[in-house]
Amino acid sequence: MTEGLELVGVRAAHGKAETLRGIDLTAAKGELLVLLGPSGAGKSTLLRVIAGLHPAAGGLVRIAGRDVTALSPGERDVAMVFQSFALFPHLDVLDNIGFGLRARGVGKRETRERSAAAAVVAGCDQVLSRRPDQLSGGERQRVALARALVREPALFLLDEPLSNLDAESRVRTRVELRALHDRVGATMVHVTHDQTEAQAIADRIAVLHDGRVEQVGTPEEIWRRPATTFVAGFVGSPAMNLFPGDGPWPVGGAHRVGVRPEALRLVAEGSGHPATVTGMEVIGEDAWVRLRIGDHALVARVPATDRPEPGATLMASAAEADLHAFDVDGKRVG
Amino acid sequence: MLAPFLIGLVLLVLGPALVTFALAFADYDLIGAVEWIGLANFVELANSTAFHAALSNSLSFAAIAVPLRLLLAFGLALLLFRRGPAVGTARTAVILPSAVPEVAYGLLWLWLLNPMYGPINQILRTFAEPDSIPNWLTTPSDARAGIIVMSLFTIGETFIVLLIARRALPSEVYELAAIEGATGWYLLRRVTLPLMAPVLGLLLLRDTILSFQFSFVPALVVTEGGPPPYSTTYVPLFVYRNAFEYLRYGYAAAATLVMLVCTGAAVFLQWRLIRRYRSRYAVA
Repeated sequence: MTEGLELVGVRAAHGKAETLRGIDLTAAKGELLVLLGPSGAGKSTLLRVIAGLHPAAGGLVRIAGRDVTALSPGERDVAMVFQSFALFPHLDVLDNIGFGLRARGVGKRETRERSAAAAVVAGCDQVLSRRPDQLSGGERQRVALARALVREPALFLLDEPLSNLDAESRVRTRVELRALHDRVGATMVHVTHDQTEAQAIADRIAVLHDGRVEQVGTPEEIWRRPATTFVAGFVGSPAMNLFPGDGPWPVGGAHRVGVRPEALRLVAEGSGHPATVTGMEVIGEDAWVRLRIGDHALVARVPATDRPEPGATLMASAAEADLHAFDVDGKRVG
Repeated sequence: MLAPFLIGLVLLVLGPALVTFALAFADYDLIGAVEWIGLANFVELANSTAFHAALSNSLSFAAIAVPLRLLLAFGLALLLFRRGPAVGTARTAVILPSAVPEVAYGLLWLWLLNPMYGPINQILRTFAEPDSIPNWLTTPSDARAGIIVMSLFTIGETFIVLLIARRALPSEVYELAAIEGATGWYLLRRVTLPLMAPVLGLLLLRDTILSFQFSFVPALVVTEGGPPPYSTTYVPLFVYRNAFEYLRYGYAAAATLVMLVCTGAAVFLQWRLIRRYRSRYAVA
């Protein structure tokens, strides 16, 4: 039994459609676990089941060693940060933060003190008397975090907290979020569809697809050894190139072989397969080069200074260590 | 493009309003000539027991019926805003009385409230003390209570607006509240009520203005302004009688103006109150 979060065989449905098909997952105490997946994967549903906002059709949810599967959201000792922040528009920042404390009967003075302290930790202590409509997106997010912090719950749930921020704020805020997690030592489950965000802040990532867990591991494990073709294709930008088992880089017994765009070497002459450049995108120091080898389309990522001419034919090669082999069920081989 | 509406506005609203304003200072019975008598109508109103009764009836009706109606519509809206089994039928049941034409509605209650043969008292007689059963149409206070009871069922419009307003509230705020442990009464007082306060304020204003109007048909059809002398004579009925039965158009016009001033005062007071609380409950 873990002091963090434990999910055993959790199932859920929306009407007749099964949205979670048996989730087994744990998060250690103080861990930042990221649920990563495309829309429709079930990550928000899973978060809501953990929170108690959506009923579990089967399975067990344990928080800090306590079976909470039958408990209402208010009894589970969790706090949640919503994508839209869900701040009370009729309360100022201080009252927003202290809402949960007052709801549980904590006195006004103690609520004020604890709310102010949480605001300092979350970085919104300068705007305590303002109302949500007078705050920027980043400020609202900090208020939502302070509100989650003030009750010192066993588990923090964050539902795509960075999605409503502009691109610049997102990078800055994810650094603050990770720093906050380390300072407070809280167990956090963070949902996102952004694999860059996931890799940047997670202790471990659980990749979800179609209501199932495809792989759980550290960001490095997910990157270096994707367990399924889905994980291989989802994590990485541009996505991993996937070829048939008997394609340009065959691996005996494999149904599909994957090569990351970064692992491809392009030279004008030498060993490799002839590849024709069909297109190119230059992004800062990177060039994403689209190529064709026979019937296969692929993408290579090279430094912008080394980029080839459009329409040129180059020799493309990949080291054996950089090949990822998958069987017919999409599972990793070797 | 605007012309038909402007013509309608002038002919049907502004024109008659100006005529009424002018007539209030005159004596006119449709037959003879218009005789300008200054403030004499108002003086007569000030001394008229009938008008005092009408004014106090209207004001107390508004003071009791309007909050009750709003409370009822609000409570029902909070019960029925989510979809579920039989909810659709229940909503229709709440709205239906408002869809019935006013006179038909009044005649229905004339039968319901009949002290001897009406079903309400027949049912009450089976389990209540005979002396405690209201004599709906024959005792002054019971007749006034009857008119108020009648007005509690025509809350359809208010109910629909509150239903929509409740459904429009952000559901994530409620999910957050559930996670923070706010339920039941606390949730109602600290979340639902503040978030719906602007709509409730607006509906309170509206119903106050309308309360003068929706007392008219019931008083006319069910109680005929009685029991005597003026138990359920409300100001609109007073105006109607003086204008169309006694042919005292000037007098009736003066009474109409007093009604307008009262409505305006009530609306103004409420508006001030709402504005004071709007800053507290401003919705982003």
